[in-house]
Amino acid sequence: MPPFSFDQPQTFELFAEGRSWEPGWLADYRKECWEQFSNLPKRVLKDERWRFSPRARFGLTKIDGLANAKESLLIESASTVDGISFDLLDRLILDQAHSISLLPKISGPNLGADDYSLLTGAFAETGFILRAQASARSDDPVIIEHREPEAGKIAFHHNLIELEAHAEVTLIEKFTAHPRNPGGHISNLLKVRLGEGARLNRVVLQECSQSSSLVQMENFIVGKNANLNTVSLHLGSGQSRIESKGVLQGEGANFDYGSVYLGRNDQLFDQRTIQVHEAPHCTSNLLCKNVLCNQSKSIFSGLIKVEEKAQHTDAYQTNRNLLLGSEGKADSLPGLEILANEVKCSHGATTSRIDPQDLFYLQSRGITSEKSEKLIALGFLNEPLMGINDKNSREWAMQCLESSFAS
Amino acid sequence: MNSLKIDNLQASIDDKSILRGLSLEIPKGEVHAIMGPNGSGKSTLAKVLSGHPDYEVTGGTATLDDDSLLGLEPDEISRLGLFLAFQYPMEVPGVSIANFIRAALNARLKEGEKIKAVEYYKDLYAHMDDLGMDRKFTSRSLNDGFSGGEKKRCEILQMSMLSPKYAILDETDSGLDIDALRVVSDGVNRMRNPERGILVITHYQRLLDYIVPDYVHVMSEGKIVRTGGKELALELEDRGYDWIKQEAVAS
Ligand SMILES: Nc1ncnc2c1ncn2[C@@H]1O[C@H](COP(=O)(O)OP(=O)(O)OP(=O)(O)O)[C@@H](O)[C@H]1O
Ligand SMILES: [Mg+2]
Repeated sequence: MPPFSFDQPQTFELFAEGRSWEPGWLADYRKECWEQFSNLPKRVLKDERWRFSPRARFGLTKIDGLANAKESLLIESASTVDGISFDLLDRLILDQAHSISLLPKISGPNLGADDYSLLTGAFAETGFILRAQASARSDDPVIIEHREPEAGKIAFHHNLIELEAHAEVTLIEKFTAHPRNPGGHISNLLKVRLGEGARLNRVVLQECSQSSSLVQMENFIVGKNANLNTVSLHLGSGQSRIESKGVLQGEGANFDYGSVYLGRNDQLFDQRTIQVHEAPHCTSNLLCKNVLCNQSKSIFSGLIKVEEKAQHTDAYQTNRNLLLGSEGKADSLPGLEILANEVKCSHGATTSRIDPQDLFYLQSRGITSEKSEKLIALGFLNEPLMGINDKNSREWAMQCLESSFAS
Repeated sequence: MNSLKIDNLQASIDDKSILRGLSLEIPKGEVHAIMGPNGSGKSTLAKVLSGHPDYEVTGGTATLDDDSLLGLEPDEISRLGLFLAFQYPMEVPGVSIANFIRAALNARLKEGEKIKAVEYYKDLYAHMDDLGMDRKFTSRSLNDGFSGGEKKRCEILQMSMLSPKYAILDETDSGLDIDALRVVSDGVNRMRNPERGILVITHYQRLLDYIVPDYVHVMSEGKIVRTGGKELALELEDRGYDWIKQEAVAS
């Protein structure tokens, strides 16, 4: 057998043969994704969407096979509430295919990682599907665990969240490291649609291994008067590419997005975001804070796009970076594109170091310089976590960050 | 030796000499006050003793009991038992007062020792009550958005929690309203004991009505130029600094 490669048509043919039991529409969708992937230009010299990024670190050639889908995604805590279902794609394909029919209809964020997005469409055998009927509410979070596969393998997860009118759910997503043979890849595609007045609280904790790769693509579509609150804590992964799109589709929609990144060694964090205001009277608020230790590197590229009909928009975008030590690097590309005239928008990006006077102040209380720097950095990263609505999740996230810093 | 002893201390910043042979001894159990014109080097003295990296010590000695302070890291000096209440405390967003003080206490523990959360908070709240600080402050970010007076109270709270052997209070009274001045002074007076030496830096003799010093020193151009009792502060209030400066030049 020739070595595994996404350049070989047989790779997909073999995969599709093994899944001939799937409904026709899904087979067609996979095939279409595969064909689009195969037709992607092999080499693009200048792609703005990858500006500043050492793209080779996300190269597909390092991948030597598909992960075992049964092992890469697990439900840790399901919902017991009537009207809320939380299940895995592979369990729904056969007898409840209607519940996943929305998957092909919603696009990915399309912020650059087209290859990963299309491959996920073609190859994903699993993914979580979270659906809530109108007015269904759950106080306890549902929890999913994405597990880094063993070295060289890639896990494709194709996920869907669909909340009908006035439903309210809290979701925790954990990304965990492979315990014995780290160095796997995860390609995670999430599609979210919130109906009128629905509310989603989402917390992501990413603790994959330092030798792993993560490509995370999210498309949040927020309906009329709906509220979406998502906060991600990125502590692991050798390189991670995050593409997040928030679409304010219905009047009065609200989108809150926070992210925290703690970079160490030669980790790379490549984050692209877009806030699209399509309807009037919507607010979106994005706050991304990164701490870069050692030779770690972050890239932030964000755009606020306000369409002509989206009057009375409030949209904010902030990226702040703190360099610890002299070798870290942060690139920031904030952007605005405003076609409406009644808007309140701001964007800002800063990169700074610890002020020696602050350091002296903490040290003068007996705290070593190393611990003082950690305290200051921890304080710096605290702000996005304060945006987590659910109190227990918030405290849990703060603890995770603190213990990650201690290690 | 039971004193904070400074002998012929000389220090400069960017080749500009600021402390020019300063000598001062604060034995345990005593309260000393330093007064002196703006720019005479009072804060510099406090920072040099605390190990601030910006200043270069070019001569003299400074010892805390038996340990030399010069050349030590600020955190080492603090753990030896010197506390500095800052004239301008820094704002540190995202670091709560409770976590900050706990980290400072943790730094003083021996291997294997641990702070018990319940006891810690009990202790912290008791000290806050004494200083008339709302308990809500424990979760607020350190000095972030605090009023001038709140910052000064927070310095005294840290001092009382850390219970140092020697404390230097750099203009802790400035920016305090009359009630706060009394509360903060009471806090300092509670810390007065035979095992602790205190140095207060101030411009106002009013503070010395509340915290009655054993000695008053006048500092000018990087030196102590005169030492007296509490009445010296009253005399300064009356006559200003010029006469002392002239006398110092004359001698
Ligand atoms: N970081 C610095 N860089 C340059 N000059 C400095 C620095 N710190 C202090 N100085 C100078 O040293 C001198 C003494 O300053 P210091 O703050 O010690 O005075 P002070 O007696 O505390 O005054 P005040 O009563 O106004 O608080 C001043 O002339 C000041 O400008
Ligand atoms: Mg001063």
